[in-house]
Amino acid sequence: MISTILLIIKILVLIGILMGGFAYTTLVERRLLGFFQLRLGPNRVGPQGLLQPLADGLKMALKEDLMPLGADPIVYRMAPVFSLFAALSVDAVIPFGAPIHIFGQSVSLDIANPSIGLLIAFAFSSLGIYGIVLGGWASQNKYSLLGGIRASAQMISYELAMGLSVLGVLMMAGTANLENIVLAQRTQGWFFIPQIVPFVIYFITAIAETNRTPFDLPEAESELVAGYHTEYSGIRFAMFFMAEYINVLTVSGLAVTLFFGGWLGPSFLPPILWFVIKVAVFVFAFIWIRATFPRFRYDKLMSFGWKVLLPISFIYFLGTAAFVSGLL
Amino acid sequence: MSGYAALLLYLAVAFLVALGISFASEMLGPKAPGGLKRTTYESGIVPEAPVGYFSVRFYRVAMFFMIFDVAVMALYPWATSLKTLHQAGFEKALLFLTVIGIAFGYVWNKGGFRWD
Repeated sequence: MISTILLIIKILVLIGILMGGFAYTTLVERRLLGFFQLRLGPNRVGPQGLLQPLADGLKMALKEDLMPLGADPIVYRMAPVFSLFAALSVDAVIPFGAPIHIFGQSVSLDIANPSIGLLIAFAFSSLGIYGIVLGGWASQNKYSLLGGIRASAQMISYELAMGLSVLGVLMMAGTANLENIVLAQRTQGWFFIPQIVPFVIYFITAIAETNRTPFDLPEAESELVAGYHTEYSGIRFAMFFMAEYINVLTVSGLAVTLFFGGWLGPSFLPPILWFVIKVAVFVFAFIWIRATFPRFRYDKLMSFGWKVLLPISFIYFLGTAAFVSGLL
Repeated sequence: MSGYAALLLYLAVAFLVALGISFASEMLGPKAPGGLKRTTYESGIVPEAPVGYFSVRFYRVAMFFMIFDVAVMALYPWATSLKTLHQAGFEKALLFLTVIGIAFGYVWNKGGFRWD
């Protein structure tokens, strides 16, 4: 009984944290982009602009909900739901901290801890493609369709390199359970040291998977208006952004779990704080990269994924396999 | 509760939250139909031809993805237990990896990854 109540509390807290994390990631991004561009960024609503996300959310919710005439009503309405659902669901298997003790019970800081955690995480993150491609298709707008199709082609291309890049971690840890991967790094050291090349590839593909600059081709404003969400308004428009920012938090959390020891760290700070700090570093890197790089050209993007990232991660994977199996 | 039941419950809650949020504008927003609000925005030009066609190259990418991603997924259980399989396990997988490698090289050589 207590465990069920604790589970429900954990679920609500996690969804609350992800929504709050989304809201304040947008604020941090806008303020940081402001500083990168030598201006202040939004700082009028509340002290230091701290209430800005609330104002944005309310404004989005209070806008008129529009749907193009030719649009498929059900698919058009469900596409943002799928996007957000896929983004939220990945985080169920990420361990946020060492198990804590309340009411004499040991509570692990994740919703579920299946032995195939990593596969589940990848499976759900791939579902996010459906939201984007269906949203683009259902809008019955040529730019939206192109944006959606481009997004799906880009995401599936980079997903291969991403899938290969984490194989090395699986081999070294000998498990696909995310909690055991973290624990394996306690004895073997953080995996980014032996797996530095796969880590770099994972990070690049993570940027492409979340459709962020320099891989934000699906929403290239200068050529596609706004891509797959051109026709969306109000809260449904905002939901695509919720999905994008929650995905940024998720891929950062996965990178931390797989390559940077998850919640491990010196004991003067609690484990969950170490996890948050490490994720924050990644989110900062995402924003920094957005402020720095220009957008890729589409043909370059595709050939970079297939001809550069994929072969490199395959070769490094072979080397790791030979090493782990004791051949070298 | 066992791991998968908890996961299922979380997924259900996440889906309901997403579904609930999506109706916010319909419930709270103003309703003022009319004008050209419901036409699609294609940079100010009146949309003419129906939508629904796109380059066949995207299908090609999807097919390659299917082929190679299934291969990568097949490697996951093998990679997880490689430590206990030792050299013999690596050598057996090498055969499979060679086939995949040849397929990849063939597609590359045929220009399958070119985009022009």
